[in-house]
This record gives sequence, structure tokens and C-alpha cells, in this order.
Amino acid sequence: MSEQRPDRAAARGRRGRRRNVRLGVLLVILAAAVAVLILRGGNGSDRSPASACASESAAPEVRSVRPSELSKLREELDRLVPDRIARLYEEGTVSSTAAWNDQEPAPPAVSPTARRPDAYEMRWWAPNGDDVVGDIFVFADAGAAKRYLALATSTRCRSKASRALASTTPEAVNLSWLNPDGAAQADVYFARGPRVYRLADAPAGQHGGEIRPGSLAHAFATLDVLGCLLPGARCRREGKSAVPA
Amino acid sequence: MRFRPERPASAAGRRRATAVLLALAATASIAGGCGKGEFRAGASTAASRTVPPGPSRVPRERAPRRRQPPQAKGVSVPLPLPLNASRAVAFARAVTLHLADLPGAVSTPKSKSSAAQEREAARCGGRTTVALGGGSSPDFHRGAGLNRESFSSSVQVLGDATAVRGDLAYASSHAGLACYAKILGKSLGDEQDTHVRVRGVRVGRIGVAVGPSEQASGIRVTADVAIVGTRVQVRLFIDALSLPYGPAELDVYSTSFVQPAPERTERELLELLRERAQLQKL
Repeated sequence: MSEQRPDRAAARGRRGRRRNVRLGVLLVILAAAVAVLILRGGNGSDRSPASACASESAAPEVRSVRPSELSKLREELDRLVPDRIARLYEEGTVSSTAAWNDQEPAPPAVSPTARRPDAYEMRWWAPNGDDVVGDIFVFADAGAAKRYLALATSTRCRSKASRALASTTPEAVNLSWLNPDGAAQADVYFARGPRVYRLADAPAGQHGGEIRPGSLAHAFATLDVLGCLLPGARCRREGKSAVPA
Repeated sequence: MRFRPERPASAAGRRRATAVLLALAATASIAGGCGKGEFRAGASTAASRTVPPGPSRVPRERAPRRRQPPQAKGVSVPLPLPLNASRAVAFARAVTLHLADLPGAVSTPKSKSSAAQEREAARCGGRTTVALGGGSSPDFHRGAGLNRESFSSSVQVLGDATAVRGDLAYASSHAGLACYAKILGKSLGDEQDTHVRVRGVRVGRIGVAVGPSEQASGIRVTADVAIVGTRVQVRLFIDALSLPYGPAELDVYSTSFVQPAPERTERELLELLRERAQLQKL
């Protein structure tokens, strides 16, 4: 048995070296994966950068309300796009992070008395194939709404984003970016009291991970018109919509 | 053509058809009461409305309804106590839709069906099944003019899951659908007044996937509502969808103009009923 000990020790040593090699390879793969994630930063079209950024920026959350209080939000949004023009395909409550992660609206709660987030979203398919979205987020006060507006319209947390002041709606911001699905999207945000309004238009055929120059001009023109239908928009007549560079 | 009264509809099927008749009747009266301006505004675009082409974002909801929905299959539901009418009513009350489920909606009491409509609806359908009990929600409607849509729900408890499957078989029967179309057309002929004409009633099958493995099935009624003396004409859609849940049927109805109610909304409402059913012992 004693003669076998050196072999066993050698075998243990080989196995140990193999384990070390495997561990080293795994570490290299892990390091490479981490490096890729770091290098991609906010420029990728995956969801992780925007989601992480949204949580890091600690966007204020909307109020929590009884379900009946959502009715007025839905009524305002419903006026934006008549059924005879576009096709409503989904609607429901959202959280404030929807500005970044583009989450789908939530279905009704199982308990009809459960409190819901005071934010509502409706989505339509326009006849030209554009995906048009309207949101109203209601915060505890105007200060929280302004903080949210500043965060939501920041280009830092978005892929290929740029912004400009809107030309028709006072204090509104036009934002172009690549949404989490890699599609070019035009957003218009403005705050009125404790509310933040967002209108979005992701034009058809622009999900190639790029925003071509001028490709969102029509989308911003559409949003300018729709935005003026919202209460308190106080629109002024301007010739052209502001398109972020 | 004479209908054969010796082929009575199932209780739930009769009630479902009656609900569709009531929805059509209510819609006809709504159309009659609406300002012509609203209809004029909508009709020109409604007539030339094009189906939206492919989406740009992600086609989450673009899957068309299946032309041939698979046969609805029931789920296994524990029944610790014998079924009876009072338990069925309590179950229905706990499961059916509430006003809170449809933001922006107002509720109106369910219209009473007339005996004549019941008799008419009883002429189509499959097997004779007596419901132990059940109940329905009020009608919830929201939006104005051509944006108006309404939803309602009902729950019917039958003897067992086999009875439910048989009861829902009407949706896959050509003869049943043709019969419904004929009766609905006749009923609408009676409903229309001097201001409104309803024509071109068609009935087709629809199916909506509910959860990963279940399928709700039902019918879609389409009709053209025209304002007399004008060129205004809008399309009306009425969906009646049923999801089997053990010995119970969970039903959702929708009515809308110009285009059908969003499939996602119908699916979410059916899923809501099912989740409530799972929380409520039958």
C-alpha cells in the first residue's frame, strides 16, 4: 500500500492541477464576460443597462391609489388616439421605471380593492405601423414629478439618446433613444403639477439598433400633435417639431 | 326556415346567446342615441381603415386569433363538497368582474332578457345541460362615441367538467354558428328603428390563449350599423368567450365599434376570473 502512495499523491496532484486549470479557465471566462458587460455599458441594446441605471438613479415611485382613481387617467389617455384611427392593443398600470425598461402594463389585480400604482399606460398600433404609447405618472407632489422628469429625460441612462426642448409644449422635452428592444423611439415628456406625461412613438421598421438622421422627425411631429390633446399642455403654435440631434 | 324546438340549447349556451342578443340590442339603441356627427366623423375613416402593418417595437400582441381554436380543455378542480345552487351563486359572485377591473368604466345593471329572446336563443345549441347556478356581473362600459366599449362576465356552474365541454362544443359546430347567425340577424331586424339599420350579421369562432396551456373559445359576432339617411356605417364587434374551469364556465363578453376589443384585454380578464376562481373554493 505504501508503494501506491506516491501514485496516489501524483494522481491527486494531477487532478489538483487539472482543477486549477479548469478554475483558471472559468475565471478567465468570467472575467471576459464581466469585461464585455462593462465595455458595453449603456450602449448595448439589451435591457440590463437601462434597468440597472433606472434603479441606481432612484427614480421616485408613483403614488398608490384605489383602483377607482385610475379612471381619470385612462379617460385622458383614451382621448389621445381614437379607435377609428389606431388600434389599442394593451393598457394597464405601470410603475415609474417604465420610462426606461418599457415594461408591459400590468393586468387588473386579483383583489378588486388592492391599491394600484397611480400611473396608466395605453398602447396603440397606428395605421402606418408605428407603436404609439401614452403614459400618465402621478407622484406625491410637484417636486417629485420634476425630479422624475429630470431623470427620465436624462440621456445618461439610455442607449444612443439625445434630447431637445420641445417646440410646441412649454417645458416639454423631446428625447430620442434606442428602446430596450433596440428600436428607435421618440419620447416627449412634460410635467404638470404632480403629473408627468409621456408620449412615445416607435416608428415601424426602425429596430436595427441605429437611429438614422431625421428618421424620427415624423414621430416627433405626431407626438407634438398628440401632446397638445392632453390637459394642461398649453401648446403654442410652432412651425416645426424639435428633433434631438 | 322553421327551427326545431326539440333541440334545446344548454342553459349556459342559451344565456350566452341571450347576452349577445342583448348586447346587440343595446348597441343598436346606443347607435340610435348617438349624435350623427360622431358617426359621420368615424365612418369615413372606418370604411377605409387599414389594418396596421407589422410593429416596430416588438410584436408582443400581433399574433392573430387562431382560425381553428383547439378544443377548450377543463382543468382539474377539487370539489370537497357537493355542488349546489347556493355555492354556485357564491362562487360566481366572488369570481365575476368588478368595476375596479376596468379603469374608466361605469357599470349599468345587466339588462333583463325577454322571454322571447330566451326562446329564440334556445333554438340553437347542442346538449341539454341544466346549470346548478351562477351569476353575472353588471355591464361595464367606457369611452364615448366610436371609442365606446363594454365588458361583462358571467359564471355558470354545471354538473361536471364533461357537461362544460359539451356545452362549449357549440363554438366548433358549423351548424350551431349558422343557427346563431340566423337568429341574431332576425333579432336585429326587430331591434333596428327608423334611425338605425343593422345588417351583415356574421358569426365566427375565436379562441384566446389563457395562461401557458389553456384556451378560451367562443364566438365573434360582427355586424354593420348604419345610420338611416346617411352614408354612415360602422362595424360592430361582439365577442363571447368561455373558459372551462372544472364544472364551471367562466365567460367574458365584449362589445366595441370599428375594431374588436383588444385580445390582450380579453385574455387578462379571463385570467383574472380564473385566478379568482382558484382562490374561491367551489
